Amino acid sequence: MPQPVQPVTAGTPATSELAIEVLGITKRFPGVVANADVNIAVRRGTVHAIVGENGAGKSTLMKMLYGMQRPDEGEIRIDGKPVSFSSPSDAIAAGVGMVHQHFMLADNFTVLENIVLGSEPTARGALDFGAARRRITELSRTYGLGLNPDVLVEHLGVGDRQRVEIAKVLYRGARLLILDEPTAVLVPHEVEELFQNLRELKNEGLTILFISHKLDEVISVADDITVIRRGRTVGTANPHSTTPRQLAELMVGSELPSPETRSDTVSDRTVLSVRGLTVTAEGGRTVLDDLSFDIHAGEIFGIAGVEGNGQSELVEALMGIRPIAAGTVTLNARDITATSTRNRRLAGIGYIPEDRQRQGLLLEAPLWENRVLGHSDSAPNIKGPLIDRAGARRDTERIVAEFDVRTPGIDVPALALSGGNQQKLIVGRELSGEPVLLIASQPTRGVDVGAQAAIWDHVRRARASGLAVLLISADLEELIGMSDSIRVILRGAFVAEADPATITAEDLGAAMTGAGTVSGAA
Amino acid sequence: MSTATATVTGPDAAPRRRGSRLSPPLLIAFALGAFLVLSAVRAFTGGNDLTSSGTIAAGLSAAVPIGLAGLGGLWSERAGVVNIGLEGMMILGTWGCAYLGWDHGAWAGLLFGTLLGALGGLVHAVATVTFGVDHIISGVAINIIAPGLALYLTKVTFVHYPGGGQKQSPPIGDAGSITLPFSDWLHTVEDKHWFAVSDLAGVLGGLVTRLSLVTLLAALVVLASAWILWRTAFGLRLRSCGEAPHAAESLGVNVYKYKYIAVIVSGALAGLGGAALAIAAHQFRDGQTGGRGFIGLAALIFGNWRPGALAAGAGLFGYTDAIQLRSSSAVHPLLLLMAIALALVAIWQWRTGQRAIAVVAVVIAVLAVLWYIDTDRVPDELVGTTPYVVTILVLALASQRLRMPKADGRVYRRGEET
Repeated sequence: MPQPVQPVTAGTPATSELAIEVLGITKRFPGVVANADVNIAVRRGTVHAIVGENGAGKSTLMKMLYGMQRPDEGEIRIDGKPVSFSSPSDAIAAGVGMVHQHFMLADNFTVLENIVLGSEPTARGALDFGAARRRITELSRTYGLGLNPDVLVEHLGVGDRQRVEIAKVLYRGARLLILDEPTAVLVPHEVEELFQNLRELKNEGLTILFISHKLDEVISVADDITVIRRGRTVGTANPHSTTPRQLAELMVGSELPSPETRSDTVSDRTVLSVRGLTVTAEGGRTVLDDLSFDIHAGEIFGIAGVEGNGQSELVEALMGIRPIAAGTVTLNARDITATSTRNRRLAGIGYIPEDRQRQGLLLEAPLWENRVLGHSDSAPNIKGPLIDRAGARRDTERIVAEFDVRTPGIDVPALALSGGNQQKLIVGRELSGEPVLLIASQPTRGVDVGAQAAIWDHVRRARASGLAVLLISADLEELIGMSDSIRVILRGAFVAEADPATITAEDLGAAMTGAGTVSGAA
Repeated sequence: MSTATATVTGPDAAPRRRGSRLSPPLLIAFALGAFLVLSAVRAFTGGNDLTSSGTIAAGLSAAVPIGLAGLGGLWSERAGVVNIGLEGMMILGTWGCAYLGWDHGAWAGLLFGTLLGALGGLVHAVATVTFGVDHIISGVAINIIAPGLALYLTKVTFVHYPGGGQKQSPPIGDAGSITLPFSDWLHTVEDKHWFAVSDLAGVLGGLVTRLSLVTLLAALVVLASAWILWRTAFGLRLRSCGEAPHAAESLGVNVYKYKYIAVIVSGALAGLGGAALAIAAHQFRDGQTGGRGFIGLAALIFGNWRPGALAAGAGLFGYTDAIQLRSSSAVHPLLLLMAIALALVAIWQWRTGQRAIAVVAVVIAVLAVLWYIDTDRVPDELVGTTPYVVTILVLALASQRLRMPKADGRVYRRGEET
């Protein structure tokens, strides 16, 4: 029995049997060190969380544990024995299974087909559907997964799909499950169901490695926590004696800023004025009903609401992407109701779209080309009729430095960046060129605390210099902390107004469902 | 301020849609209805060729090449590779069949034609799977190269043999056929021209009289494909490459290997279809395939990428092909049949809310009826287009609920994120 090395500060179990150990793993990519001397010890039959910012090296670590990449240095031990995986098949054979963040499922296959694919039971040359069905039903019962083997996956919700992914791994006999950001795609009650599943798996003696940056979730489900910062293990924590804030500070490595913007910078000058804005969907359904509001220079105007109540339509209408049925939009006293999207941007609207990968970036294009995107009409991106490569590249370097975009260079494609760094690039781009109005839709969604703080900081500074901001966010703390005034949107209409200085997240949440009462209801 | 509780649902509340597959009793009722309409039209118009055993037999043998090409498309597209080169692979099959077939017998020809088709498939696989060439471009290239190559080889090989020429091969022997003993009796019944009864006798008679062994082989290939693709582990893996190749790869399925196998089998089946065509015509001729590879693709789409429905589609196209080949006068009652079918489509589409399609169908139906009343025959110049017109109509009106394999036509590269 090899003596488990004391990898990091404190809290490492010396007596418990270890399911997996990571000893001094280092992984370098051209231009970056993704992991440097990472040490982790995971006790058998526990949920072990690995937390870190986006881009801290969690995913690289997981890929090495699952055989998708090989470490440059260091050793991985499973049940005390050193292993070397050259492909996921080796990892599966050693009892390691991975539940991917993006589901790897065929929609047009049944649950059964998805689970058995690649290791099918056969009888007389044919796939033995009976045996497969029995095995899956048994698995489903043992671990409380509640799966019906004969349903098409396309009919399943996100939570069920995730359980299919878990079943796939269990079916292959995994004793160690790696879950990469499993809660990113789930709604709260599905998260609770997942945690229930994880507890049952744990009770059956399985070991779970849980990657996340959602700290409250980690604290609620994990038995041990290892924190990774910039590719290094910086410490372990006991979830019973740690607060999310302490964990976050360990993760970021410094004191956390909060989203407060208490200094008052709101001026009298109206930047955006919306009157009677109405949008109808195909079929005549009203999705935005007679909205009127003003946003002043130096004001952050927050909109709270359950997703799907007209927020996306409002943003698209303001950007000129979606046709409006009635109403006027005025920017700096100029009527832009009938203006094209491009001209609206030229008039000084910056736009952080809610889906950065689909609407905000060209994933295959290098960072500097993404910098030019949407700003291809103005300096420093053009010189005469041509793209000014040198100028654009120089300015991209500036954004990378100013907004702390962690990247090996400005020639890597945007998809090589982690989500938080992609978002910082977009924020940097949209705050360039002195916009007068910033439309920020979910600016920090899926972004770790460090990047979140950086983004808040930049928006706050721009606000101080007179920027008007329309902020739409599902993160109520962010909304309350950042906004100068808040409206609650429900079924396309403002149903309440809230004062961010006094309202609590609970009250705001209640108002969003139409249940609570807030001061000044419309 | 309202105090109503929230009724906002999440965006992932996926609606449960019913599958589009028909249950067996419904299918039988459907076929029976179609048969009765057919025999009613036959009785009403006196176009006895509509259900004569000769037409059915000819339709069946015309359906074989189309069906085999479509089946080739099924294999390839189920593994995610669009194979528009079926036509070219079929041409290779017709030539290959003639090359060995004229002096070694039809079965040797069949084998060699299949082999050449497989070779065409291999070229497509190398281009699309290994080099990531766009599937359509590679397929079109094969369609352009194959006829030229076949013509060149014909000039090199066949010219000096008896019956061979610049554009055709010497005659190929017969592949053999079987006739069931009660077929004479069926012919007697058929000649009475009784409503429904004689029609049934005609259809059955067409199926059991001088049934080509190649047709039997084709039927077996359809059944075998269905079993392999839907009942074996191999088939599951192959289909997974067409639905979610990245998921398949993550489970240890060698996607490249399965795509290669699928595309080569696809070519082999198209080649077999071409060989069947050459055997039915008893020789290779330049331009013999006449777009049957493409009609095979249409049958594949009509059949919703499933072998049974694909065979039915091939049967439909083969039948219309046979009618126009047998007698141009039989195309005339087909107008009426078409009008009835369109009217039914219109009713069904109207009820499912597809108003625009229903209206279009009604308009075409009315035009077809007017045409039928106003004329005695369809001009000979148009008769030959019948199968193609039917192909377009069927695809235009029946293609709303189709579902192709999800990753079909996309170039797959190992390790690349989607």
